[in-house]
Amino acid sequence: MTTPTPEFTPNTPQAKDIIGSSQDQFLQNFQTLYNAFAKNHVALDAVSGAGNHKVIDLSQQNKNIQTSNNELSMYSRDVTGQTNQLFMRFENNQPEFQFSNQQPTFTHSPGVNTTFITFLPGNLVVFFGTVGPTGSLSLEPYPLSNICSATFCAVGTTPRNTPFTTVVESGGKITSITLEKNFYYFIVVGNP
Amino acid sequence: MTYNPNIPVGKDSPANQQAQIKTNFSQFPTIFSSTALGVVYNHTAINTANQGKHEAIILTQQTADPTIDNDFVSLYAKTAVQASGNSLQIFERIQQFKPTIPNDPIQLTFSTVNVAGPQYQSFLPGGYILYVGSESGTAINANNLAFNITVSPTPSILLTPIAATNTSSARSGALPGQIGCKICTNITAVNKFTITMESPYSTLNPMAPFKLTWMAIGKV
Repeated sequence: MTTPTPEFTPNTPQAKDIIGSSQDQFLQNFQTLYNAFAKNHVALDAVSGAGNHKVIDLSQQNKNIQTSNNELSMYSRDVTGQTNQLFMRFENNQPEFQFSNQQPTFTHSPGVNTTFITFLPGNLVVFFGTVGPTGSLSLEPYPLSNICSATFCAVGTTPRNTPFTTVVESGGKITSITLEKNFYYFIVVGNP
Repeated sequence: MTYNPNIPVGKDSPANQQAQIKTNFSQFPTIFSSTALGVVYNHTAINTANQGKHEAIILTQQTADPTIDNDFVSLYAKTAVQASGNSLQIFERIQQFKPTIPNDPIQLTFSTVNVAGPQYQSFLPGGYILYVGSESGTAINANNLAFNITVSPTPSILLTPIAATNTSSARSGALPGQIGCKICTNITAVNKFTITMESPYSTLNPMAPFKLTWMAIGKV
């Protein structure tokens, strides 16, 4: 048997109520406010810090967010092919932009192809690491629709020219980059 | 008195617990918009035009990562393990959307930035530190030029140092489209790497100015 969750009643007490008859609703209102507030905040009855945030859960927004003068907004919006991501909009309804992106990864394997992934605000994914000597840099699991910048630098102590590169597409996405079969450090920035 | 969610009690009339009820109501405007040194924290005051919105948000330290409900993005503060010293950082957690990639918490911030240079430093989501800088000089012979770079703050591991020349004095072997000199980088320590660059010197250009820029990414 579970205890029913108290529900908030905003319109109590009524003008003609005998105050004692509203006891249940008073109690439920205070408990509901307490429980709702405790979801994301330090509890209302905390000795210190009441009102501070424990976590900020941002629920998915499906309509345009409006920002007034001296306001900025951070919110969650669903992104096709991804999931809910963090968005921002600066004051006076400046264009919104996607702040977060694909899940960053970190798996370090010295001496072989190693790719790390992070992102930049503005719906940009960043691949970086070491490629070689296969001559193929995979952009999986996040193939790009567009490469904004690709920079390569030879690994070691013998200077080399910047390699020529060729992109490989599959299904309308750039899935890999081929280049000279040597070890290179790389940073690739693109749109998912 | 502090907020008490468990009043009024029993069958007693709320009228007999007026003081506690009043305290509860009074706590909302106090807690929603706590003020210190003229700054309003967390929530905009009740009975103002912007009530319900947020002011300067304080995130208290969490010891565990939140679970993510459907259609939510969570932001929170947690201690990040960092080579330069553990500290409280902002984390984000999103839903899992690739079966092979877990929705691990994402460290969004890092303890320091350096905007003064000559070595600049910022951070990237995922617990990465970004370092950028440049070197310049004049090449007076054909020997390779070498630069030892020490990045600060020290990362736990240096992952990707990249350098590029910004000189049009390509010396030898350059093909169309390759305007810089040959160059390479080599990690020598957890916070050090070397840049080796072919000299732009030539008999036709015996005092060859050069400049190179570099960036490096390390794990916090």
